[in-house]
Amino acid sequence: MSALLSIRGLGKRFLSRGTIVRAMENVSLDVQEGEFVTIVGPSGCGKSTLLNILVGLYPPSGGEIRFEGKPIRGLNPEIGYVTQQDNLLPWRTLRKNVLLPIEFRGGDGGGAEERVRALIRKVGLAGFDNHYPHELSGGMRQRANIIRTLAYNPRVILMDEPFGPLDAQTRLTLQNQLLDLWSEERKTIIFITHDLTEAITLADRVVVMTGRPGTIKSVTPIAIPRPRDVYHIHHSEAYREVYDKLWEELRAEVARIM
Amino acid sequence: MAQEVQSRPPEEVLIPAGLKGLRLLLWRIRRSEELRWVRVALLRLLFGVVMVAAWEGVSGRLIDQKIISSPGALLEAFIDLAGPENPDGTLWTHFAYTMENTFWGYLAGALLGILFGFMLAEAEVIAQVIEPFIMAFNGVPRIAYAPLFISWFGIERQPKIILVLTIVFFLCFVSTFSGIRSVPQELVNVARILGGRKVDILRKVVLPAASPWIFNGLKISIPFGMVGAIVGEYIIADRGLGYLLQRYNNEYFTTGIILVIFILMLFVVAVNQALNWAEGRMLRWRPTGQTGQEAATPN
Repeated sequence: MSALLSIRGLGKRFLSRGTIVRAMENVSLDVQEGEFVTIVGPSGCGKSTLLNILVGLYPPSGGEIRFEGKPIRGLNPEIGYVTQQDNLLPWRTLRKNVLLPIEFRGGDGGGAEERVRALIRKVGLAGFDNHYPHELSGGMRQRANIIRTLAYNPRVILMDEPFGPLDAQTRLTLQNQLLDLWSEERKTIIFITHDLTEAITLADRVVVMTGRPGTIKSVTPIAIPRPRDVYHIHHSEAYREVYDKLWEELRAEVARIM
Repeated sequence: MAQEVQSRPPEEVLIPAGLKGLRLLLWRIRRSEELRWVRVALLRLLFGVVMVAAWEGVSGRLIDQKIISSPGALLEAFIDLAGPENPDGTLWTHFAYTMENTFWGYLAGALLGILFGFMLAEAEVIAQVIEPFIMAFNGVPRIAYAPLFISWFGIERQPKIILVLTIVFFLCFVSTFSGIRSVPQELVNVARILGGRKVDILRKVVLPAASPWIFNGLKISIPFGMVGAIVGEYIIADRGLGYLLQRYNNEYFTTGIILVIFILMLFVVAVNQALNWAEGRMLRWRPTGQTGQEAATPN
């Protein structure tokens, strides 16, 4: 089976204060349809750069990306992006924010409205439809951000530390909801995080990246059976084993850039 | 949120009639958080009354009435000048003339200013090229252009309207331009990723994000625009509040001057209130405390 998203030799150099900074080098990865891949790595290893390139915000300096075997450039309507900041439009209510991508697509009758309502209910935001973002908590805003991308049904969703700014409990709740949504919708997800536990809990495979210039150090399949219990996963033996292995790899990278 | 609390009607309370009832009512007003606005309104009224009374008391006793006039004289002059038997038009015809000129200049200036603000904010290079020219033109006090406008456009309405227009244009232009420039790039990027085309993004992201700035420009333009109309009339005109100011000045008619100033004050306050209300409604999405900033006053 050929990969849905195929990344080959991707690199990115920036010009910063007259010197060339190599942010990312020779990144190659195949992601299957319906797969949940998480990426961990030390700060500044070009994780966000990778996502920005995948979504098409700017071009790579080298390498190529194939979607269903065809090379892609620029923005692709099949690839959604959930950013770390919720980036909701402050003048739109929660419901209108989630409807935004559907409005951009010219709407599709009543079906989209119904889907949006269902999504809002599913993540526990029913009753807040007509609230403005400033009236919602950080966790609620981030949930709205996620279902805004789900609303228009892109096949791949990139997530850049979406739970980074949230407190520990809210994080667990949202991880749980994300797993529920994912098992229902079977999206292909590439998820960046700083949090190794989060990476293991969510993933089919965990990718460890090296420090700058970021490249792929290892790819580890996570054999823990699903559905997973985000609240108790750290009790399991399988979890602890893979955690120790990945932490060793990560620690070496963090130590290298310190 | 705070507004909601304020606008909620006070709890139904039984106030007994008579002096006892009055005392109870006053006590409520003093203590209750719900009736804060009543307290503020009453204190404002008191402040106004004290000011007027002090003015009346001082005038003709400590300071010559020719210099500071008096509330009584003001009222007399108002009744006289607003009356229909005035030879060169009543106060209202002058008021209407000034306001009409302000209105047309404001309308054209605001529309052009917002339009150019949008266009230049999208055209990086052109904006950089003409920026110093705009700043140079705008940096000169507008009254310096008045003689030119008069020689180009005559002594009727046109030079006054143009003067208003140039003032309003720049205020609206600058606020629109900087409003659009300050739209967070992340919001625009997200909208692009979500599938927005350029027009959609302009309409649904850029315009609303810039609207508080545009609104502010529209607000501060009102008093400044009126300055334009009045200065234009002050230089040469046979009508308008500016003309009245100039004539009363020549006649040493202090009461008349103060009367015109009061009319302008009342008008600006009324318009500002209306705009704050409209802004509060249109920008309901903003967290409270950010709406309804006071508009700048003309200098």
